[in-house]
Amino acid sequence: MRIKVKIKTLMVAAAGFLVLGLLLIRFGIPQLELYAAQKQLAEGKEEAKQKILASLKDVSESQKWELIKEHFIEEEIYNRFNVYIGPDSSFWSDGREANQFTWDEKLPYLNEYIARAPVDGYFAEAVKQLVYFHQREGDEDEAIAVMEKGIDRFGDYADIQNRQDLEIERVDLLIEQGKRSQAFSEFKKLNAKKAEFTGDQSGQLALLEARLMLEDGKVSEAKQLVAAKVSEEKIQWEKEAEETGGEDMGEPVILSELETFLDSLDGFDEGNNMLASVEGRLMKSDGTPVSNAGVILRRESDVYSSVSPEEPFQTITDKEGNFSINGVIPGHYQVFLGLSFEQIDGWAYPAPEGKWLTIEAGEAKSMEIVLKPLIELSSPVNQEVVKEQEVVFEWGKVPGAAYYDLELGFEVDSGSMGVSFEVGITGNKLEVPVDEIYDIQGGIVFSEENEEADPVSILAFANSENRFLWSVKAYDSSGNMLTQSNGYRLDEKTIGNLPFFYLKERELTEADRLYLDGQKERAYEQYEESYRGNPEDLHSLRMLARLPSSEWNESEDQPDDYQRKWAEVSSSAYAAFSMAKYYGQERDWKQYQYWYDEYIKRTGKPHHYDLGFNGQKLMEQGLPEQAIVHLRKSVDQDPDHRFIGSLLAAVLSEGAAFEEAISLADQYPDFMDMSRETDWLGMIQDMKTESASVPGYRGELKNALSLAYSGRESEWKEWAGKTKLSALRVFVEAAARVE
Amino acid sequence: MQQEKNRIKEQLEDELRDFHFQGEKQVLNRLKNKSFGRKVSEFWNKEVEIPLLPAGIAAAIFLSWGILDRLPEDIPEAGVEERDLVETGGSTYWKDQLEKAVAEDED
Repeated sequence: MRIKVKIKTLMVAAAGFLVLGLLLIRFGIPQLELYAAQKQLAEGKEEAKQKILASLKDVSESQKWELIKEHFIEEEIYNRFNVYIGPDSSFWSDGREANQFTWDEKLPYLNEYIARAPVDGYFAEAVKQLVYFHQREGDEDEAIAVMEKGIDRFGDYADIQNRQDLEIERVDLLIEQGKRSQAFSEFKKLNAKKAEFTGDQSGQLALLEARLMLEDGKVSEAKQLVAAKVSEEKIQWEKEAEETGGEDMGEPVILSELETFLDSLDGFDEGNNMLASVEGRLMKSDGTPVSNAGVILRRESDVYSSVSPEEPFQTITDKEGNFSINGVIPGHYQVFLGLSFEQIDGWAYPAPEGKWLTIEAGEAKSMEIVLKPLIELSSPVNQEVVKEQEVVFEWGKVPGAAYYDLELGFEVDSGSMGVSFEVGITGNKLEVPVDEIYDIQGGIVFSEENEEADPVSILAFANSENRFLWSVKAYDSSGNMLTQSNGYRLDEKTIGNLPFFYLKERELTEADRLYLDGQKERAYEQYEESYRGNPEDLHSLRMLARLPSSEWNESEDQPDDYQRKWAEVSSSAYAAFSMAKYYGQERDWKQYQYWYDEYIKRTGKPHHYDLGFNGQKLMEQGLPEQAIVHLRKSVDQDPDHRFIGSLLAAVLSEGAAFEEAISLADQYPDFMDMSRETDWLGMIQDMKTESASVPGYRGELKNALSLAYSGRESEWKEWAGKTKLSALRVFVEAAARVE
Repeated sequence: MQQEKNRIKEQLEDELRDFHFQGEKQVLNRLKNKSFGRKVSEFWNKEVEIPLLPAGIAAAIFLSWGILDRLPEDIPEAGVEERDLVETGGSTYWKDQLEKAVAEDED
């Protein structure tokens, strides 16, 4: 096909294309490059970062603000850290840009943003980030100057709530800088405009006021103020719930924040020097400081959820790894760290003072947090197949380690099931006969549909086709964890030996295969047949003993003949403990004692749970004096002080003064359950008050305790129904519930 | 016919007797040396026939040469290069790295 055109038309068209092309080169290509760079940034490519920085110079202003929001401000809010790691939990997010912009890179742009970008929530956030950057760098004046500038830019009317956030933050900053009088005078100015504060901001203002009261030692005034605010917010919440037609709305963040604050003041009276401070340094054991890392003191009520920006006691380490947190309300905290993958890769985090950090009123705590290299496992590893009668576990020696704990696990559909195998191992090597491993019964995985146990979890370590895994933790002589083999292994260098192995010393029997295949009844018959034909066939007996536990609620049942036989002939600690548990329940104390002792013999060093369990059984036998010995050991070794309630009951039965019990409860708070039902300190204080006006109170307490532990349910209920001593009843009921 | 023509001519000459044409030279000049503007205009309005297909291909090649050269080399497809973390037996690994290590062990 041919077309006829005038040259004039042709030229105009060509010129058009040329202009279009030039425009594309000038604007379109940079946009494409920017798009690609943003994608590459997500993969952590350094050159992508440089491209984005370069394009910030020639994109339009509005696009520049968008880029700053997305890559600087938002990243800092949501993805500041890849990993949050606590004393015994850790979570990660991989949404973070792997190669984040450094403060040197961000600084000029954030300054420009604060000078010219439109004011909104992002703007307020940018101001805060920059303020705390200067504060960390030790430039307090610059921090204040940036804050002032930010507040000024809002003017008087624009975006009032974001401005108020900054105004509250300014007082916080002054407190942090130790400029108390300025903080108070700034607060007074805000308080004069109190009526303008609504919603979250009004709650934040109340919290600020309460914090200032604490600075002044006015604890009860602070309590009153926050309590009033809590009820006000509750009414507001209910009202809003009604307006939305009873739709289930979660508790507003500010309300729970106020409630937590109030709870944390529980048990504190007036005191001029109440607030504490924590300062320290975060480094690796090779001396490298860990900079720009988060250090978060997490309250009891916070530790089981992800770290929120609302949590009050958090900070970021400076270039030297130093950090400090002021105005800390005394109490119990877990120290969490916020780290990048690069920082944690190959390192373990041993919490500075164990799982829970106790901060006393007025304390100036200083601590060193030292990350230690992960323990290297040496055998059996990398899916090694063990066919011998004995498994030799061996791992790298940890300097200063007094003992090690070893955990074993097997794989199930949904992941893996771990079980503590041996505690208190003194060397870095453990030789174990395979039978002992076959005998371990870990947790049972039940399927959701038919409440049937997953055969893989019943066969457990006797399954020669399943892959097993193991890990070790090292402790010093006072029981503090030094390091462990589990952790982040994200690099070819740190991945190390994989903790997987197979046990193929035995082969699956036909019955095993039937069972794994889901044919439980046929498998059971087959095991019976094999065992009857050969009483030496311990594996069949093991499975005959285990199969009944593949149904719910087996523990209440009397052990059948196979289970009894298995407990007698095997070396299974689990079987002995099941027997002890059964006889304990039946209050057959002779049998109980026999099986408990047998269990301890088989398991080696008793776990703190075992000690607590036995202590409770001794209480039930009416032997509080002996119970105290076990319960004390348990509580001492257990970071969560699970059996503190039982210990208190025991010492009070033995006639200890309330003061003594109070100091025990204070020393060993119950961290198992954060509810008020385990506020032992409060309960004992209440009893102490109640006892003042009741003659013979201690005798009554002793009787009530022995009744509650006696197993005579109806008598106990009758007493509990009749008594007027409510504090006493609450304590005894709670103590009897401990398990 | 010739007579008629001659008659009109005579009449015309008679009527135009008082008019004298002085731009003769210019006109001749113009006809001999076309002005630049005129040349351009003629060129401008000249019609050309173009075979559509080859011309289109040529244009496409020309345009793309300029642009392709400047396109960013790899625009990664979303999701392709993203790495997943897996937790197994208490340790956390990059999934691809773990799988590679496991495969190596099995060999």
